[in-house]
Amino acid sequence: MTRGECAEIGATVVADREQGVPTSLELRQRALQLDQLRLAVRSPDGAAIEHDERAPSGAAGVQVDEVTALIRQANVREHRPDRRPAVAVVEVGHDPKRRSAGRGAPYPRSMPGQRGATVEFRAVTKRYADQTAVDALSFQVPAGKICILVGPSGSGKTTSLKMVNRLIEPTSGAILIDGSDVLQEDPVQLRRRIGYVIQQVGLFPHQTIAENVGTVPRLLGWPEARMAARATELLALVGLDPARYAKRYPAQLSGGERQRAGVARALAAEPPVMLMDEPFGAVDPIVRDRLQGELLRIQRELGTTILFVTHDIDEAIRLGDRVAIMRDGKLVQYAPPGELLAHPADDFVAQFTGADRGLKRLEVLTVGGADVDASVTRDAAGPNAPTLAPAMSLRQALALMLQHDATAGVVVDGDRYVGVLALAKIGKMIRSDA
Amino acid sequence: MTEGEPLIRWDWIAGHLDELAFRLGQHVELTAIAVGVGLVIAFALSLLILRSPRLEAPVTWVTGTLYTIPSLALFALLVPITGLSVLTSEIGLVSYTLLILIRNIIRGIRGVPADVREAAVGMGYAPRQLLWRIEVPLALAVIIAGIRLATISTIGLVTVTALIGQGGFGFLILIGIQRFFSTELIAGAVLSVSLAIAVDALLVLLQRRLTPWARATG
Repeated sequence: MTRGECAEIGATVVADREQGVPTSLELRQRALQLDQLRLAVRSPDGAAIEHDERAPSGAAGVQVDEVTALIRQANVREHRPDRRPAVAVVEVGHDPKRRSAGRGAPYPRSMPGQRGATVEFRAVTKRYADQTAVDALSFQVPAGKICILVGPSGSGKTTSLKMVNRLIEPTSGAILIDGSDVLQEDPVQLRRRIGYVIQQVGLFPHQTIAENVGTVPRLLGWPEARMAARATELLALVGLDPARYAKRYPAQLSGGERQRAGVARALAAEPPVMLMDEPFGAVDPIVRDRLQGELLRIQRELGTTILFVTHDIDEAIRLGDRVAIMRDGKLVQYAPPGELLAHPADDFVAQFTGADRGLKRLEVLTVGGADVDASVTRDAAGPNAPTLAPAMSLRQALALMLQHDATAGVVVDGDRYVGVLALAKIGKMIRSDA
Repeated sequence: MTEGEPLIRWDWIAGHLDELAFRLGQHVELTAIAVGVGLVIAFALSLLILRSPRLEAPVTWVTGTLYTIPSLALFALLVPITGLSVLTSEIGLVSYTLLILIRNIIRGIRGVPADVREAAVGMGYAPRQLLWRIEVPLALAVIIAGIRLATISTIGLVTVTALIGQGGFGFLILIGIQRFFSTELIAGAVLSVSLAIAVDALLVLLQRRLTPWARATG
């Protein structure tokens, strides 16, 4: 291996020995260019735990799932099936002897300046003859954040979303993207700069998956070669092997695969804003869970601002940086999920977030942010105490303590001992804030 | 029919291949013009109807009425105005295609799934791009089904235009009747039917060629 590039699974990068920091997207782009792919998982001390070498043809089809599986195998071998390695390093490299002429040209180090935009609603109202669907809605989504619009049916959340790309025109008010009013723009041009994903996906049945993904680039007049390269890149990004899926028609895909293709299509022209209208509402819970996880990974990677409509409060809490709760066309509360669960604005929000919101809240709080007692030694946690990482959610920590029949956990940051987290502290957090 | 004469005299057919080829050309030409012009008119009317659905009832009434006029009567009515000409034939033939073509174009385009249309508009398709790149391709199967029906019925109707000096294979039928000559009559009828079957098969092939996605399932 002439060059190693390292990325932590979960898409964020821990280290690169030579050239700074590649994202996992780049890692995969690179893999597509290589004649041979070598994946290796390393433990924090750098020892190889598991590796997998592929023939040249295998390199192009590498999937995040496969890499995840490799790490899982490594964990099983290390007898740590319940934990990720503290640092999971994946190396991609190639064998110079196998490299053929004309291939393996260097890829750009980073995606061309893709960045989320701010989205601001200013007193946006939509009135129909007999009712007010959206009533003086005002809120602001910071660039690169996920904002979830949630509420019961008829609360105006989808109407609000569709006013951003002007599928519905507001009666009054203004919607600003990076400070400029969408109502001043040509709607067709505007929509090409905004990603759009709907529940039924709406893939074009007469076009292949690659053609579907190339929809907006084609409207923008990209050259054919760039469009094809972009489609390949995006299919890999959303976990659809381009070699297998590019030439298929939508009818040949499962529901989950179609939704992945829909997300790839929405991202094709690198929109600073993406609108998603209950995108995972029609897929089964297991697929939904995976798609949610991958959406978060992709969003972290690209930094796209996302407005996301759902009626599922659990989905809102899992995905949202901010959650906007709507009722009867009005914004009832707009807050990060943790705050929403801790301090519901009124009875409606309290009821909507559920009686178990204390438990839900543990999902968004981390061990690192909890009341960890650093003044005692690790022995104070008791013999069964599980090891906890600061980045772990309190919910995970609670589950581990219950599984191990322990009353405390030992918090360790990499190799460094941090302190002891008592079960009682978690219980107290549920009670005090709910 | 003359006594003692066989139903079909193959020697007559062998001696008149040039005539048959000429009539084939004429039949195809009359049909192609009728369906082609009919398609253009039907498409324009369909777009108007899709834009303002109020027009659907009156357009359907007019084309439906045209469809019910007996072809003989229609040609007879037109002769004093446009004479014994191709134009007379085509006015009649085009009129008869409209009802079927309009019905299928509208049904095809309205059958495009709402989510596909919403996704297309939401991603920035302009109205014309939506029509030509999404709606028409997806409606193609239903539109071609309409074209097949219109073509078959036009091929049959072309024979009637023999009465005004056109007719393709219909001319053979007419002459066969006038001369009590069964060979010419049967040749005209059989060739007309064969042409209809052959063209229909070609249109089926064309549809399969134009809609490859329809066969890609599972």
